[in-house]
Amino acid sequence: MKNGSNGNSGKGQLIVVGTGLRTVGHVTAEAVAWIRAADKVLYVVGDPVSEKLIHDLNPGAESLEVLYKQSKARIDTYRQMVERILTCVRQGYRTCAVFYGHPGVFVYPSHEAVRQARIEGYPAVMLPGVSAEDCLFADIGIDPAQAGCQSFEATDFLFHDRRTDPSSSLVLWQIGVLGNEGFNESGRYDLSLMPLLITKLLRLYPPMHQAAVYEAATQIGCPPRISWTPIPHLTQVEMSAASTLFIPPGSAPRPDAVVVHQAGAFGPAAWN
Amino acid sequence: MRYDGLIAHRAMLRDSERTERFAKAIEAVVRPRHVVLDVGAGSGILSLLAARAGASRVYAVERTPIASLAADLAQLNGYGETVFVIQADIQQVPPPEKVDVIVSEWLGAIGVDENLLAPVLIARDAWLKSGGTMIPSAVRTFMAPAELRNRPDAGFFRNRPYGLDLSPLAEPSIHDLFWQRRHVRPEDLAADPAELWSVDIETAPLERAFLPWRGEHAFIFSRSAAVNVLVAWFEADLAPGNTLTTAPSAPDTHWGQLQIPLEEPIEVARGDRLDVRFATLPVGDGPHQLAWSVSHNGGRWTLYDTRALPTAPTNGTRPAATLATPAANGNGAHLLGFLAELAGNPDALHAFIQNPEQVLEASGLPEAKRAALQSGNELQIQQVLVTERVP
Repeated sequence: MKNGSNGNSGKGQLIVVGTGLRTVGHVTAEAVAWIRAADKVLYVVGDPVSEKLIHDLNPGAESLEVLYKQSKARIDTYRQMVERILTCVRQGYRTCAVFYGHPGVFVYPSHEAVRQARIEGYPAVMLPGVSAEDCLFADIGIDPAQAGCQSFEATDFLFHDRRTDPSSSLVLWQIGVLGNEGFNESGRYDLSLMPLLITKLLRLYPPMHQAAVYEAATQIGCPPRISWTPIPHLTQVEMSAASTLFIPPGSAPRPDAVVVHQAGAFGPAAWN
Repeated sequence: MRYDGLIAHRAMLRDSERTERFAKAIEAVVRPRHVVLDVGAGSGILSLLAARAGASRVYAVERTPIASLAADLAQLNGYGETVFVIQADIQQVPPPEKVDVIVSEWLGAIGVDENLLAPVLIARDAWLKSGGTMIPSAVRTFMAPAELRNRPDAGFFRNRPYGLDLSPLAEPSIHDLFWQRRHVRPEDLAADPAELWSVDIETAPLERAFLPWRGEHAFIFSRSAAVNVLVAWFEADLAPGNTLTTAPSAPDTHWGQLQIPLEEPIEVARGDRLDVRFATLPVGDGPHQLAWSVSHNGGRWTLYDTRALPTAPTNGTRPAATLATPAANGNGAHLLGFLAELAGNPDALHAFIQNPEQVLEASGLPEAKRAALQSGNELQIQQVLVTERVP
């Protein structure tokens, strides 16, 4: 397949894949095939097993993690990642960009690289992967079909007046980096805004409503970390950049009386 | 302290300084036709006092079975029609009506340390009328370094008593010393007391009850001493002109003072400085954990933390990850390669799922790495992987 003058495939192409949360068992057969077949593999995976797998499949793979720097704004890092990916595509390489988890969930550079590649006329696709939310549904044992489920990035949720329904499940991503814009090598972030989030949640839920700080297992045979705690105690739970907050419904849903009436089914029998 | 038995309640009822100050506050605040809520009513003594002061109704909410004693005492004293005893968690009781006064004796040895402020604030937000009164309305915490004679310390267990090595008992004994309550005399204090923090019960937001309380002070000594404890106590404003204090200079109470031990006495001279940082940390539903640190004349800090002691309860959170320092890897096979093979080769993964023992046995992985993989502990696995990581 490599028929270009510099080892490329002739016309640039972008395939974005994910390794899943736990590479062993989560990386898909299709992702493995694309990593193996690519002229250029660029990756941001953060765990040594994924990194080893990628190098085994494609020895010339290049890490983009070197673009992260202490206290550097994330958006600047992401823009550099996008530019590096597109440079390979423009040079005519079949380029496979590999990201941790689901490549399209909480990953800005993957979407942006696909968008820009398409604008520039290159074929670009993203393959789904296993996200933290997929793991959460399985590990905590909830089905979003039952009461619905709203997902927000935690800092976005804090600073915006989102219309939250406490009769549904609520997932707040990146709770462990609440209010932090930059990358921190230590993995520890200033969570001084957590009391504001608690105050906001207490406007929606009963005072001691239980929430779970969740981290999916990243190694085979290991359990997930699930710390149930009353919402006001969230300041006491250890969190990391991988933590997600899950809040089960705090109340029963209210029937939409107008719709029920219009449907001619007003009354308790309609709900049995 | 457990509040579902009679021992604690007898001690509190016998504490006349406590009970009479609350009685005077209730008499000063409660008016005829007032409705009163007693949060964590216990034996119901404060509810009886409110009824005696003229309240038209008193809701005595108590979650432990001691509530039955409160109901009996209300009947016995002729307030059976006034005092309504409800055995429940306050947050699970919908307010039958708004109340004029909330009274609650929720205080620990330094005020906030029994983790009972939250139910009071929950009750305030749900039950209290606008402009209503909280008893107490404010609580402050104080501290001073002291020299207490004949006080056991951790050094006893470090110095081979009876010719035996009992050193493992040293650290836990620091924890135990908290419970050796006794009244500290004013002359035991080696420096002037300092206020560490205060809480306004009428305005503090609920989430404040779940956050740590922190205070720090530089104590300057007015005399030489061998400082072996930090002594802490509280003041509670019950009503205008009526403050309950457990300071060493005040009448004795069942609280005594909290004695926060130092591992070894610090010899200080007049004019010396002792920097102290102190925090009380709400953890779970029980009493707070404590952390404190001291530095004499700008020297190195000595740190103490009850969470680190073997007898300290845990809050269920995992310890911070401490990855092994990358070092030269041994000659054995790499766990990293093994896992990458499982990830990229469905047949290998299938075999591993079918018979992990056999696959591991055949893998050539050293025993320690196999044990790490079988431990189910991510940190153990990561500690191995970080030593093998691709450069």
